[in-house]
Amino acid sequence: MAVNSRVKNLIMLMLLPCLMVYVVLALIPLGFTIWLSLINMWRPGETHLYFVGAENYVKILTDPMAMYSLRITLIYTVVSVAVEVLLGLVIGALMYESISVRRTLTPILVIPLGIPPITVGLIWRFLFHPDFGAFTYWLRTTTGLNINYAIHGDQAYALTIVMDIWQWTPLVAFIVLGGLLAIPTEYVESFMIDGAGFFRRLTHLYMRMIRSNLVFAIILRFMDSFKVFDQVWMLTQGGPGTATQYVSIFLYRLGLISWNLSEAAALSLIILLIVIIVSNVVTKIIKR
Amino acid sequence: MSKPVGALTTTILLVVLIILSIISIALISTLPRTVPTVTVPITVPSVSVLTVTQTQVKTETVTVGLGTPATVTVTRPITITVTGTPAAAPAYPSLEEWVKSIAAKYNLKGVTIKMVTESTPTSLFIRDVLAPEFSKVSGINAIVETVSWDEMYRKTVATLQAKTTDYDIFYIEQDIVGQFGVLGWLEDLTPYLADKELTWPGYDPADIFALKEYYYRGKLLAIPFEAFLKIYVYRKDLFEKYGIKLPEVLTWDFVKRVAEFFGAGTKEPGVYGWVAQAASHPCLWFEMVESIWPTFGIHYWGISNDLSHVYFNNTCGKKAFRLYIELLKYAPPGVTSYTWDEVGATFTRGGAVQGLMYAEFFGTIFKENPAMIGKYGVAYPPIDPECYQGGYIGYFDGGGMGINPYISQERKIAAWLFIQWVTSKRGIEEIAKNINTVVRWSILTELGPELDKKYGHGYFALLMKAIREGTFRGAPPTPTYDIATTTELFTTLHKAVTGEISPDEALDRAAKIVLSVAAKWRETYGILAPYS
Repeated sequence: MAVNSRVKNLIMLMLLPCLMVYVVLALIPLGFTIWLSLINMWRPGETHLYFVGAENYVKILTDPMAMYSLRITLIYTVVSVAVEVLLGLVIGALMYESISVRRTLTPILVIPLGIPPITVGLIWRFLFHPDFGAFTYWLRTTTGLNINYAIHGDQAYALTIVMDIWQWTPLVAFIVLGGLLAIPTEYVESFMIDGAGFFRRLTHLYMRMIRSNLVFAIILRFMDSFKVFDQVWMLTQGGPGTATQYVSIFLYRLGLISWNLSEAAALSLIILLIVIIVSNVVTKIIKR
Repeated sequence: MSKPVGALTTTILLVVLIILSIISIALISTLPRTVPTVTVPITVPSVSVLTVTQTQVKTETVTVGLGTPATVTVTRPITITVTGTPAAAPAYPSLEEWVKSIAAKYNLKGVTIKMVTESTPTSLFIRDVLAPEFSKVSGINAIVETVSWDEMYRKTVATLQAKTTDYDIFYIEQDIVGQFGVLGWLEDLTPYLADKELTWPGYDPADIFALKEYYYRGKLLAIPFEAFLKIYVYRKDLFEKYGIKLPEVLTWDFVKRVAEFFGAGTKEPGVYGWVAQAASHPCLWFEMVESIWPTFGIHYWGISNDLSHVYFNNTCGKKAFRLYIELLKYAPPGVTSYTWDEVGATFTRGGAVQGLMYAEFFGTIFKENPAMIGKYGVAYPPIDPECYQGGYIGYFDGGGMGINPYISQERKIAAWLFIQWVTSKRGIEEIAKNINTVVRWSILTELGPELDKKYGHGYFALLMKAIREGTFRGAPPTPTYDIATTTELFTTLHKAVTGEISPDEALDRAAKIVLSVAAKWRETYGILAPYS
């Protein structure tokens, strides 16, 4: 017993630095955010601070612009994650089944993953800017079509989704490939012997065998897409109008431009809640 | 065999030559007698009055500054007698010596001061030239951080709100003075100016013409280092090429006709009829309140001083906004993503025939694209004769240096020395020569004509005229920052720009948003000091 107790104490002692880091970097900021969301820090320099209860949450939940931002972010996230997972699954399976495809695609797919999101935004800006975009210019001069995401909100919205898919589909493909490589080859061989085609193998074998990898990819991509900021900020700055003002951009403007820290804190906690709920739901649905 | 020249021919030639010689001599004698001009450079180290005596002509007295090299141009035949009235040796040391001595006295060597500023041409010059010079002389490590406008405010507000000491000096725009003043976010510089020990004896604040814009309720909150107008800029060369004459009183109707004439890059390849700030960004609001609405008779941001009502959505306000949106047809296709930076960049490449531009950009335009020197002209912004019934016509912008009130006294003194270094006559002269912006009247009058001649734009003459006539104003002390950065406000206006809603509807919505921000402000802080 005495030995066990000593071991436990030692374990606790060894964990202490990690716990301290966790408390300082996660729990204290979280507590501070909760506190901010319950007071009236609505303007820069606010000095008469007082407790306002759930007022900030009510304001955010009844603010049409906040709700609009949440709505377009959810659509953005669902569409981009769905396409990324589907494409990633197919590409990953192709890479698994063919060594030559894997050799060809691996270096190509690594490129978007290795570029920081802000640079991705910049690259797409140079490609699609209505004034100097290379692709826009090519399209205009060859087909007469004019793409102008700076004025057409739907184009800007679509462009940000395509940009996300372009950057993150490779990640899903690699996660899928990693999962597939762990499948015993006998399973695949037996499917082959039974004459199952690629689509059948994909749906009846691969998807089932790498379910946990897919859950991981979906949750990871969901969380990431939901908080998209850098590349969209670089490309459209949330515009035109509010067409691409995703919730992170709205949050940034609310908290760090308008300095309405309390409402921003309330919104960030609402986002946190949404991400936790969705992640749990996705996990349960896929594991069922 | 060649035929010998006959005697007759020779005689005729000689006669012609003689006649020509006589005519030439006669003509020369009728010309005014020219005298060679001799320029005599002299240096007057210790006289306050220089007397130049021209023998048999007259006596001229020229007053020159102490220790200032002077040049006297005289004509021959004269004799020059230079006599000097002995003056006392300079009563104060040079700025360099003084800064060095004060830094030593207060033991400031090794102290680090940090300034956060918008990445304007002037700020970049301070960062690259003036700050290193100051550090070298004083031993104080002056770091100037230049960032975007949004980031500059984010850092400034974060520092001041948390009462931290991350930055010692902030870039204080003229339009933020009222709001920061109410919040007590800046050190009052009046006592520093009055302190004879901490202020260089040669430092003349009265010479800084933009200084009055930086006072709030009797407190001086910043010292300006750049001041410039937001003016109408046009391609002089293209106007001349197509025989377009600028009318005496510029009107929006004229601007529209010019925009239509040049079209969307159709007349001159790559040159658009108009350019403007039209991004989904506070710049869109600034474009309206600073430049467009005043020319339609809507002043002080269209907000009453008691913050109780707004009038920028009246008939004239709506007319102005509709015109602003209409003109965007003639701007580059990406104009709806343009902030002031892109407007400056467009003029740098000569991509617009006209537009409203912060004159600070002339610094970068001519530096980055010297081919544009001589191709731009400037004028007061156009007006709408039906709506504009007088009052200021445009925006007098500028940036100053304010001190963080939460830093130590030692750092405040170091910061004050740096501010003087930058805004002294010497510093401002360097800025004017390199960046085309000036805050001292003496420098403006001395260098303005020379710079106008060099760049061919005539901006400094216009600036002098604007100062004399008082036709340009800074922003009113409304809670400008709170209003301008309200996302809902500028995104609503931008929806009209992209055609999502009508301009009239956008302005009505904007009026409600501004009123709600103003009401909250009034509730907490009361009414700001009246605009004067």
